Amino acid sequence: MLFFFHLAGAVCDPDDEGVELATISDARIEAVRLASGMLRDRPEMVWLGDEFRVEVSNEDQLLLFTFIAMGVDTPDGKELA
Amino acid sequence: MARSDDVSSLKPFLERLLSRSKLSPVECEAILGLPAHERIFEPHRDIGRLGDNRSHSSLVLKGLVGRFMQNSRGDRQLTALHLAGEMADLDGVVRPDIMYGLEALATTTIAQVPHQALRAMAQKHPAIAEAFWRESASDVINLSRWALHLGRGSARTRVANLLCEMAVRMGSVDAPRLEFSLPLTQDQLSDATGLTAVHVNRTLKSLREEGIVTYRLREVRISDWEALAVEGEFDLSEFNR
Repeated sequence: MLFFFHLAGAVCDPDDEGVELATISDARIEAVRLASGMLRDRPEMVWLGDEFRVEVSNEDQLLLFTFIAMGVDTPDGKELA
Repeated sequence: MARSDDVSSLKPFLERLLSRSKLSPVECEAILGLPAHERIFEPHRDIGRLGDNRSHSSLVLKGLVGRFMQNSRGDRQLTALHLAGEMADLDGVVRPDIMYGLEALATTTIAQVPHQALRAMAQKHPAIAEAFWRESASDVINLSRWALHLGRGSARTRVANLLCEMAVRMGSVDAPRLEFSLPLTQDQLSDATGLTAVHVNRTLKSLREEGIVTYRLREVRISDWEALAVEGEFDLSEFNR
């Protein structure tokens, strides 16, 4: 099955190539691994004021699931920032 | 296994040694006279299995070979790529119980050279022993760079560094080859860079959209060498040693 891994939110970058994976479970794992790899390179992305999302669709452009990472300040934390 | 008495099969290896080491005509003849057994491996076939006790070293005559280690889950990490003219496991002469595996990444022709013959030649000709030592040192430098980028590098650095390394090894330090075939599948590229296939795709896409390099259908085309070297934190001085 062909899955497309679109970046949305803090970084917007649609996937127009896709990757062949056996099952939707594999795609779920791949989405988290992609997010962890990208956040490893640019951890500041979750503090840009918007969430970091990986939205995964199939060949019919049907959105299957979304993985979201975000940093949230408490009111006290905001005051100290 | 077909036996080849064609001494010219050792010529690419000799040329590689001569690019780094000085050897006398007698020493060159000794290398060209090494026994070699040619074998062809289809893509994805293991040339040397993990943990094998080997009696020969594998000289790449054509194709592409990946050196790899594998964890208990079966995940492979490529730790080196070997091109035509390179002896993929020269260190096996002194460590035949070598732990890493070798995989044909494309249809690959290997000349298997017996360890016994390599060891006897090195014992007889100290300059050849030193040339082999220098080859092993070069392997260690490459491996150290891979370890650095796999452990500390970003996805862009890993991918760009790999492409820079291939460009210099297929061309030269003074004239990196800007267009070449690199027949790696998506999975093999992932195994070389420690990234998921999706992350590799994304990284190549961003490098392509910035006009730095394209890697499609297993063909690499570098449009901006300087930018690629910066992205890959690629130090040409490593290749002068």
